[in-house]
Amino acid sequence: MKKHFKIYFLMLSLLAVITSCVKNEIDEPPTGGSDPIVSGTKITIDSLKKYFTGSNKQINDDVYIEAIVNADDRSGNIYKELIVQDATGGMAFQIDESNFYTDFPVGRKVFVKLKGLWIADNSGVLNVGGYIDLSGALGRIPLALIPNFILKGSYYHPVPVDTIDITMATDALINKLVYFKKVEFVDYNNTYADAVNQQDENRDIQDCNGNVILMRNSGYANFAGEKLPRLNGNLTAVLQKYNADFQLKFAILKMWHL
Amino acid sequence: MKKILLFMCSLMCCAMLQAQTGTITGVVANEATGAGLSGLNVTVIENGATTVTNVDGGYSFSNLPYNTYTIQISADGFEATTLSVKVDKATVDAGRTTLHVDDNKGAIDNIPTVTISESDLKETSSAAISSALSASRDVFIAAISFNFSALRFRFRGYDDENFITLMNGAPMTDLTNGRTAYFTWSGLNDVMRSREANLGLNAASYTYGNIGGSYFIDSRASKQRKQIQASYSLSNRSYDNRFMLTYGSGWMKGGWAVSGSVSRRWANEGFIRGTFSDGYSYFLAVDKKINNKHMLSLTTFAAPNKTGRSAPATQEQIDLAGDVFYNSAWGYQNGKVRNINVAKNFEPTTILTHEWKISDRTQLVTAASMLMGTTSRTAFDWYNAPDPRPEYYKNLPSYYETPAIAQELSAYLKANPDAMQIQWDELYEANRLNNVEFKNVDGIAGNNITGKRSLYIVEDRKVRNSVFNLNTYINTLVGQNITLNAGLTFQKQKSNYYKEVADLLGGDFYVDVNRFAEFDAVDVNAPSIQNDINRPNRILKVGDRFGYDYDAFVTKGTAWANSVIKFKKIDVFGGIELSNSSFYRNGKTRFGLFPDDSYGKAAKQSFTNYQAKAGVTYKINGRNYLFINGGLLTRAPFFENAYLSPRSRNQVAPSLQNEKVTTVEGGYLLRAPRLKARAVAYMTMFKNQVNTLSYFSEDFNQFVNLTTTGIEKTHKGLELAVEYNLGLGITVSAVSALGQYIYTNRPLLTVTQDNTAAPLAENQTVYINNFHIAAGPQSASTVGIAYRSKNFWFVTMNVNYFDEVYTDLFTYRRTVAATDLIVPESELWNTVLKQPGFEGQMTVDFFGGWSWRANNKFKSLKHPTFIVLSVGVSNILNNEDLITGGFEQARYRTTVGDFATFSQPRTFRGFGRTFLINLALRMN
Repeated sequence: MKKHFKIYFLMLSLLAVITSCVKNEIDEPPTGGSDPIVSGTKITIDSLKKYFTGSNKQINDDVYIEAIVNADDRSGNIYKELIVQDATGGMAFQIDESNFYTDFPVGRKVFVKLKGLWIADNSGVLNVGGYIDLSGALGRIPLALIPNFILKGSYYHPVPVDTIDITMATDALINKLVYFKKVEFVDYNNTYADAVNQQDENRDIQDCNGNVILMRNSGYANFAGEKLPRLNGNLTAVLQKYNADFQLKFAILKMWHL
Repeated sequence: MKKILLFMCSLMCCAMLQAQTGTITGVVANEATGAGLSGLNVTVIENGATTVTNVDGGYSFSNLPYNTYTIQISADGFEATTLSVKVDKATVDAGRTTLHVDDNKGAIDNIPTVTISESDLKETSSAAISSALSASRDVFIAAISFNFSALRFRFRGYDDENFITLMNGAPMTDLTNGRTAYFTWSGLNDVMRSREANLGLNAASYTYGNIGGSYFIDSRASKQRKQIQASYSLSNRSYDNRFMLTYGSGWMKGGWAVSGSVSRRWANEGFIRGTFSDGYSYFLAVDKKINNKHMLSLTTFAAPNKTGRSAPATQEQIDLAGDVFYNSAWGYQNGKVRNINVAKNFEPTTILTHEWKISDRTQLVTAASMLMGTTSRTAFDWYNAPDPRPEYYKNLPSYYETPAIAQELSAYLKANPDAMQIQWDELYEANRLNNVEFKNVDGIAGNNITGKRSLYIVEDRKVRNSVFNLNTYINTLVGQNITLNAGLTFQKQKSNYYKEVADLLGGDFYVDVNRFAEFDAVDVNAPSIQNDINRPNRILKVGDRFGYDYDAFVTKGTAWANSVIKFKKIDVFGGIELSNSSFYRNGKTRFGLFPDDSYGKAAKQSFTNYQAKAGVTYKINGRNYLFINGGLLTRAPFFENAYLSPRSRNQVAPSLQNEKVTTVEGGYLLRAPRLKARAVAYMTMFKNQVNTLSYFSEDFNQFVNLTTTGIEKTHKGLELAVEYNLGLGITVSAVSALGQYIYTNRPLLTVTQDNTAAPLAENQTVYINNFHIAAGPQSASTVGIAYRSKNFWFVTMNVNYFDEVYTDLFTYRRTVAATDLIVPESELWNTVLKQPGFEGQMTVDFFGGWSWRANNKFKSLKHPTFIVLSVGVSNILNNEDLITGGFEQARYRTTVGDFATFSQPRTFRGFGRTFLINLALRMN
C-alpha cells in the first residue's frame, strides 16, 4: 500500500504539472492612430484631378494623397462614398463598404495609394474607384481591397471649412466641407427625405437674397423622417455636384445649427 | 397493433414445444493468482452466442440444444483459448479455465479514438456511431467506428436521432434534438470500455432501441478492471497531448467497488491552423453490493472542455489561400492567433443504478440520471458596422462581375494571406473610435450615457441543460427459450437558450437592440427595434444576457416490451414501444417585432408515437444464419425543428406532424471458427420530414425562414464484411458499406419573412426527386491485414476507399421561382441545379501495439505490471482531398458574374496524415 501511495503521489504531481493552462487570457492590441509610412510620391488632390484628361484613366504612377475624411456614413445619408479633402480640394472615393465610418470616421487622416485605381467622370464629377465595370461605369473599390489602397492614419483632426455664399459654389470646392451663414429651407413643412418608402429627396435651401441651392438627403438617413427646420440658421455640408447642379450633403444632422 | 400482439402470443405458445436443451456454466481464472477474471469475452463458436465473464470470472450459456460446442475465451480480440463441451444434460459444468495473463489487452484497447473531435460532433449531427465507442470485436462495427470515422461515415446514412445510447441503464439522449452528446464523456476512454452495441433492428435487453441500433455503456465501478493505469498520448490531431490516470479497485471487503479516472488533453494548435483544444475529464464510480440480489451503483463524470474550431471553406477560398485546410475562423490579435469560434462544454452527469436479481431468471434494473450543464459557442455580433468575417462573400473575387477587378482582388489575397483572416486589431480600433452618446438608457427619457459603444463584440451562444431521466427495465427468461424484456422510461428536460456578451473588444458597452429591425424601422425609437420590450435600451457589459432568452420544456414517457424466442431452427423476436412526448417554448423576453407572440409559455405540443419491429433468424446450421427484420415507427418532431424562429417567437413550423419511418433489413451471417462473414441488405424510408433554415436572402433582401416540408427519403444499401484467420497470427478482412441515400419526392417550400412572420412564398414545389442526401460517404470500403505475434505485439494495416459524398442542398435553388429566367439546359441551368458531389478517395492506416511485462525484469514488483505502447498512423499517404461533406450556401443570385464560383458549396475536410503514440503503465 505504501508503494501505491508513492505512485499516487508521483502521478498526482505529474498531473499538477500538465494541468497548467493552455490558452492564456487574450491581451488587447494597443491603441492605434499613428500615421503610416507610405512609399511613393505624395501629390495633392488638385494634381490627382489632373490625371483625368477627358477619359477614364487608371493611375499607373506610384503616387499617394494625404487627406482628411470630411464626411462619413454614420447617419446613413452617405452610401459607399468616402469623401476626403486636403488644402487643394476634395475627392470622393467609391468604396464597396457600408458603415465605413467604423474604419474612416470624420477627422481621420487617410493615405490613399493611387496606383491601380481609376479616376473617372461620375455624373459630371471626378471620382476615384477601383475599376471600370462591364457597362463602362466606375466600379467601387472591393471591400477586401480597401486596405490595399486606403491606409488609416491618425484621427480626431479638425476638418477645415470654407465659408462661402451660395453663389460662390465652384468646381474647385466640390467634395469639400463648406459653411453657409443664415440660410433656410424653402419647403419647411417637409421632412428631410421619405423615410417611409426610403426614397431620396431634394430640398431647396435659400439665402436672404433668394439664391437657391439643392440639398440631397437619403431615405435611409437616420434623420430622413425628421421635419425640416423652420427658422434660418447656419449649415456645414459637403458641396457636391450632380451633372450641372451643385448640391449639399450632410454627414450628420448636427451640421445644421441656429 | 392487435396483430402484433396476437403474433407474439402465438409465438410464445409454440415455444412450449421444444427440443431438449441444456446450460453450460464455467469460470475463468488467473493462473497466477487464482482469482476470477472478469470482462473476458466468451463465445460459443457454433451459434455465435457471446457473453462476458462476471466479476468472479463466471459465465453461462443457456438454451443450447444437446450437442458438442466449442467455447472460445478471448480478451479484447486476443484469442486466448478454446475448449470443447458436450451438452447432454440440463446443466453442464465446463469447469475452471485458467489463463496465463499476458495482458496484451491494453494495446488494442488504446485504438486512437480522436479522429472525430468533440468540436465536430455537434455541428454536423456527427457520425452515427461514436468513435468514443471505439472498436468492437465485430469486424463490421470495428471498420465503421474506426477506419471509416475519419471521413464521417454514418451507419446507413442515418441521422443521430435513429440511435440510442444508455449508460448504466439511463438514456443519454438530448430530447430537444434526439442526439447523444458523446462529448460529455470524452477523454474517459479507460472507463467506458464495457459496452454492448446492437446494430440495426435486433432486440436488445435494455431498450426498445431505434432503427439504427442501440448502445449500452456499462461504466459501473465493479465493471472496471482492477488496476492503476497511467498513460500518455502524443498526437497531431485535435489534441497534441493527453494524460490519463485510471484506477479500479475491483470488489473489496464489504461489497464495495470504486473506480476513478482523470484525464487531460490539449493542443495549442490542432491539425488545422488556428484550432486548439483544452479538455479535462473526471469520473468517479462506487458500487455497493447489498446482498446477492441487490446492487447499487453511483457514477458521476464530466468532461469540461474548450475547443477552437475551424470553419468550412469554399474551393475559391482554398485556392486563394493555397491551403486545403484554410480556416477563416481565426486572425491575429496583437500578433497572436485568436479564434472566434470557441466551443465550451461542461455537463456533469450523475447516474444512480439499482440492479436487482429477483431470481436466476429475472433481473430488474432501475436507473435515475441527472445532467446539469452548459454548452456554448462564441461568434461575432456587430451593430451598424461591416461584416467582420473573412468569409463574407463580398470579400471574395467571385462576387465581382468585372473580370479585371476580380483578378486584381484575387492577386491581392494570394499575396496577402493575412487579409483572409480576422482583423482583430481593426475591430478593437473601430470600437475605440466609436465614442458616442447613447440616449434613453433603459427607456428612460434623458437618461443618456457617453462612451465607447462597441460596434463589434464576441457573443457566447449558450444552452443550459437540466435533464432528468428515470428508467427501469426487466429481463426474464420464460421456460427454456423465451426471453422477455420490458421497460418504462420517464424523461424531463429543460434547456435554456440564450446569449451573453463575452468580449466588448475594447469598447465600454453594447446595447440590447435588434439591428435587423432597426434597419427596417421608420422610427429609430420604435419599440419594434427592441430585443426585449420589457427592458428597452439595456446597456450591456461582459456577462450580460441579450438578444434572445427562452426555455424549451420537454417531457417524454415511454413503455416498451420485446421478446426473443429460440426454436431449434429459427429464432424470432418482436418488440413494441409506445411513447408520449410534449414540449413548449417559454419566452423570457418580449421581442420587439412580436410582442404578443414571444413572451411567456407557448401552446404545448403533444404527440403520441409508436414503434414496432419483428424479425426471424433461420439457423441453417450452427455456423450459417439467414435473417430478416422489419420495423416501423412514427417520430414526434423535435423541439429544435418545431419553431420557425424560436429566438423571436412561438410560431411553429408549417405542418408540424409526426415523421414516419419504415425499415427492413435482411441477410446472411457466417460464424465459423476461422471465417466470419456478413452480407446484409437494408432499405429505410422516411416520410414527413421537415427542415427549417433561417438566413439573409439576397433575393428577398431580408432575413427569412425557409421551411421545407413533406420530405421523403430512402436509404438503401448493402453491407458486406468478411474476416478470415489464416493462422500463424495473420487475419485478413474486407468490409464494404455500399449505400444509396436519396430524396424520393418533391417536397414543398415556404419562405417566411423573419421580421414580420409574413409568408413571402408558400408551398413552392422543390424539384429534388432522386437527389442525394448529404450523409457522409454513401459508400466506404476497407481491406485490412493484421498480424498478432505470440510475443505480445501486433500490427494492422488497412486500405480504405470512400465515395459518393454529396453536399446538402439549398432547396430554394430548385424551385420554379429561382430558375424560371434561366435558359433550360444552358450551362448556368446545369450549374444551378446540379448537386455537387466529390471524387472517391483512398487512405491507408497503420496501427500497431506492443506490451511488456515489467515483472520479468523487476522481480521485486509485487503486482503484475505492464508497459503498453501503441502507435497509429492515419492517412499515411497524406491524401488531402478528403472531403467529408458540405452544404450549399444559402445564397442565390444568378445575375452575379461567375455563378459557378459564387455559389460554391462550403466543405468539411478530413485530416491529412496524422499519428498517435500512446504509452501506458499499468499495475493490476
